[in-house]
Amino acid sequence: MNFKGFFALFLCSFSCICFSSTAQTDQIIVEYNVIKNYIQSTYHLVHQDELSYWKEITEPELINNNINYAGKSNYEKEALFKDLKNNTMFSKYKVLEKMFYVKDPLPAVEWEILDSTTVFLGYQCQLAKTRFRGRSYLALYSTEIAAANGPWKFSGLPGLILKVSSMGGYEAYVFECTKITQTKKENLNKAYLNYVKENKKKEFISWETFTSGMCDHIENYKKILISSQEADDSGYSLNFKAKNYMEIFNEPLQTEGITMQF
Amino acid sequence: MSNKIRCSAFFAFILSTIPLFLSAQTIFGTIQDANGRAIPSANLLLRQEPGAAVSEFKIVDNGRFQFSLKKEYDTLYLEASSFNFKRSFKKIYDLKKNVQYEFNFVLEEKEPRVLDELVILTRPLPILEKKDTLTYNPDSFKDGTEEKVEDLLSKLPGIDVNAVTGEIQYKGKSVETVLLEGDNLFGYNYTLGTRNIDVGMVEQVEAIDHYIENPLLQAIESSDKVVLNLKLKKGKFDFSGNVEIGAGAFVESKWARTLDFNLLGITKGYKSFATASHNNIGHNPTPFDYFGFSNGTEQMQQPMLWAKKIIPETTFLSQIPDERSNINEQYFANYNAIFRINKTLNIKTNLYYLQDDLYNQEILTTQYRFSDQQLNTQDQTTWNKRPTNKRFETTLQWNTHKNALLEYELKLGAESIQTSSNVLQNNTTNFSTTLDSKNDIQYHKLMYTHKIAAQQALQLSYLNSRNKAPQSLIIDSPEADTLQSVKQQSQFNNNYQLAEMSWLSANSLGKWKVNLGFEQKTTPYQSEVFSFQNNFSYQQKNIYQSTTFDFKKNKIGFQAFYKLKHLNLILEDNNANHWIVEGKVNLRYKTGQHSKMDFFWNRNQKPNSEAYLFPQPVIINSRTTLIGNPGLDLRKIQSFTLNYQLHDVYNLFKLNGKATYASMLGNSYSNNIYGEKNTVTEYFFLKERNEQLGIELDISKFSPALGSTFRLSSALHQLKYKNRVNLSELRNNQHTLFNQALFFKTGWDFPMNFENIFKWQHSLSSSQNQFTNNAFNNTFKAIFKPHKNYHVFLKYEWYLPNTNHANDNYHFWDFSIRYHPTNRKLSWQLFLKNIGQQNFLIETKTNDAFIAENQKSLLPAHAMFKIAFSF
Repeated sequence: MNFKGFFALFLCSFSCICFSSTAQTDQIIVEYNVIKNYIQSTYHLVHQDELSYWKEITEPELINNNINYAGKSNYEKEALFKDLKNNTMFSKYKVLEKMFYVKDPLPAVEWEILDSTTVFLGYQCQLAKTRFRGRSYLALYSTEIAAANGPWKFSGLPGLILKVSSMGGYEAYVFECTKITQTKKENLNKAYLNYVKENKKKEFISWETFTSGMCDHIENYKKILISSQEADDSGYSLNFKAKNYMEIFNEPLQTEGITMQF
Repeated sequence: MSNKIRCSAFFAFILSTIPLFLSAQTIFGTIQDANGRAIPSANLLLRQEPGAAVSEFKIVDNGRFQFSLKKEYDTLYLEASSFNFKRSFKKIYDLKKNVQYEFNFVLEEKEPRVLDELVILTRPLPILEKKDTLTYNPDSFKDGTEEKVEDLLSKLPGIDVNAVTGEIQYKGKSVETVLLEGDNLFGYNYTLGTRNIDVGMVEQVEAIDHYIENPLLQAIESSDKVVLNLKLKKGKFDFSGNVEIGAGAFVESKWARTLDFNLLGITKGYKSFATASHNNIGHNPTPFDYFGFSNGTEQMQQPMLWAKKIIPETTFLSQIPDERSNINEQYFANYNAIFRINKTLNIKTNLYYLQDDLYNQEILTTQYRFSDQQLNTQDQTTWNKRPTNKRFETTLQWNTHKNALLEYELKLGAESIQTSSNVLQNNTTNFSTTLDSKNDIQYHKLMYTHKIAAQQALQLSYLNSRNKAPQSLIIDSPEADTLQSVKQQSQFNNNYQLAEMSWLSANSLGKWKVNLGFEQKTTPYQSEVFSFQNNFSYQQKNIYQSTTFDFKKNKIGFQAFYKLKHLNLILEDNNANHWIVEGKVNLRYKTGQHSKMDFFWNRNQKPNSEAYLFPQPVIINSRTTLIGNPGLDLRKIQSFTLNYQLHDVYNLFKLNGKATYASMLGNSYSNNIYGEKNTVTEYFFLKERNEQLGIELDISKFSPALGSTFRLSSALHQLKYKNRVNLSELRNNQHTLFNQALFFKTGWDFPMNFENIFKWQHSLSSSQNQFTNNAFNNTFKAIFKPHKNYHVFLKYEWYLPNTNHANDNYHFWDFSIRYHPTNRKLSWQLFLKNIGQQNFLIETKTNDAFIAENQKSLLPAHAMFKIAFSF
């Protein structure tokens, strides 16, 4: 193929040339109170131009103060990097005692913006709704903060998402902004590089691989449970489920649960 | 060629612009910075009026956009924005269809801010609505059975349950108690809950690490306590329970019976659990073990409160499971309740009543070999034991102030065990023995906690306990020519008090607890038989100061403890004072995500136990007499433990390795004088060393290919000790016990699964002679589930207690079929136990001077049909 052929191809496509911005990158730290069913904890969204970091800063605690919260003795606080420049997210899931490392593109969340507006935290906000990985959500975002970002994996609205609530279903999730701080730039790039380095040897899989492999993982888990315990004549059934995961990766496991017979 | 290319390019161009022609209104353009560079991420908003809600938007990547409008508009206000840039606005009037509109935005950078932290807006946390339903933790288990919680707990990964005592361990640590909905209803006697609460009532089981019961001490006190919390199902009714009735027969034409009633009541200000049961099939749902006489969790947790019993209730500790040999007739009732009187006051009450009638026939044959002597004895014993136990406990908790808590605890108990036995000694002499043992306890504890600051608290406590354990022994022998009837009274009391002041504090360095206390234990003892009388009072008093420091950071944990005490010992006219320093260190290192290593060191000095101090003889049965040796010597104890734990639950690879070394300098040793008719054990104190070495290894692995789990458990324990036999010189003895178990079980998604456990125990006692024994045990199980509501279970057990008697094999068959419907209201079970009709089993034990074989009666073969109803 000669030069003319290349020119023809060029007419069929619109190539994108990226220039790195030399604009000063101030940083905002957005604090959210996150409720997952009846556990709550505080998260920070650290946002700068091409990178953001979603991190849990307090351990979860029960909302109902009448019961001592058990928690997990080795609880690992959540963390999620969004590489906005390369449209990539890194997250990890612990499901039935196994860690899964997932790398997927920044989700193309299809938002439907609604006409309803309100004032929240002193910002003019507008409502939008979407359905993402098995759940429906309602969000409040403000164009006054021109960051197309939000808590957890939410993004793609033309302003910072200040509040997201799940709608319907078996569980309830709420992310609510309580404070926004503009601050000196944290060394987020360094934190990100460290994260990549620490997890260099981990096998990151795609979301599709993760969900498609879940049935095998559950079957294996059931076999392990049955085979590891001494049998007796009681003969009973056990139902287990996985809760407090925003995304539905296995509907039976995360709704009614899986029942097994001993 | 060139024509072809031209055609391709033309069609490609047309195809790429078709969407533009077909759309009603199209917007395209660029968003750049002042230098002409594309802004990597920007927003383009479209409004119909300034300040109105956004009608449409586009997230613009890499500075270029092109899209078609979703609706038709006359006028649009465009706004381009990006983080760290000022906004730019444009307006379009009279939009027409089929027209493309191009807009190129240039955004100016925002002025750099003074980079001080600036809070833009703060808002208090919203008040959250509390709801009634329970919280779920990830990967939680939801139970759906009619069996007891103890059965379920033993199935949960990380939790182990001792089948005999009911003691629960979570990841190798003994649990302090089992909570019911966050409340400590059962205390140390948590088996009342785990052995009686129906699993159908339980929604979830939580394991709580670093548990602190006193809410004022949260985040101040360091705690390694582990508890389990049972979270209950919320149903329509506040009361739920179950009833189980079983009837059947033993082969010897005796009725087999079981009756079990449990009631759980939960309301806003009241939480209770009540149980009543009766059975004669060897089942023990209580926290008391009168058959095996192992110490319950209460006695293990608070040994300083209990008076010693010189005369033991049993002579041979059996390893046969109670369900095979516990010939009983038990009645038990228990009530536990917590009343929340108001926000500051709650009262907890526990009541117990137990009555049992235990029976067995034993033949103990002992071959002694020491020096150049040999001796054989045999005792055939038929015994009947009738324990009764009544307990009342109450705890009051009163928040006198929001930062202060006053607690008062009261326990009153009365236990009586009447044991009557007939002994045929050496096939020649008959004895009839009656042992009447009582145990009465009165316990008071007052504790006051005051939270001085967010991370500081002061605690004052006073504990007073009185325990009396009188024993009356009567031995009659009409056939004996030299032995008169024996009538002996023996009584140990234990009066204990402890006053302590503690200051607790937590800071960035760690957690501290500083104690100042006074402890006193007085154990008077009286006994009288023939002309031998013991009457002494042994008093141990100490004033102490102790400090505990706890530090945790990332992967490292460190805990140190020291205690400086002045110990005063008084025994009759003798008085001794000692300054003692005790120390403990615990180092923990988290080696990986699922693994950790612990190192423990412990150093202590303790006075000799009062159980060895009586100078005059005490007869404990028709054969044996004990003589103590008064003295105020101290024992020096030091131990080291290294523990490695890897617990990868998902891959089911579990590795536990533990090595322990303990040494005790200064001990009461025994001089055993063995005779054909009598044995005398005389204690004496020597500053000699006993040593103990233990190595344990557990490896467990799931094989995905076979869908099965394999587990290998090995434990080696070696004890080096000294004694004298028949007035010999001091002998060096060694006792080695090696246990090995191999477990295999399938986890197939198939109606049939199998399990097999093979065990080998090797014991070697050596001194001047060697005694060795090998025992094997294999248990095979087949589990068949033809339908989700049916469960068929077959178990075959084979015992070979002594390889030197290879023909003495024992075979046990058990069969069960169970039906439990989905609604779990009504279920039934038919079971047959000991189908092979084994009536006795002989166990072998070795010692430095003898090898003993004990034949014990077993629960006869029986069949039973049970119905259970839950409400």
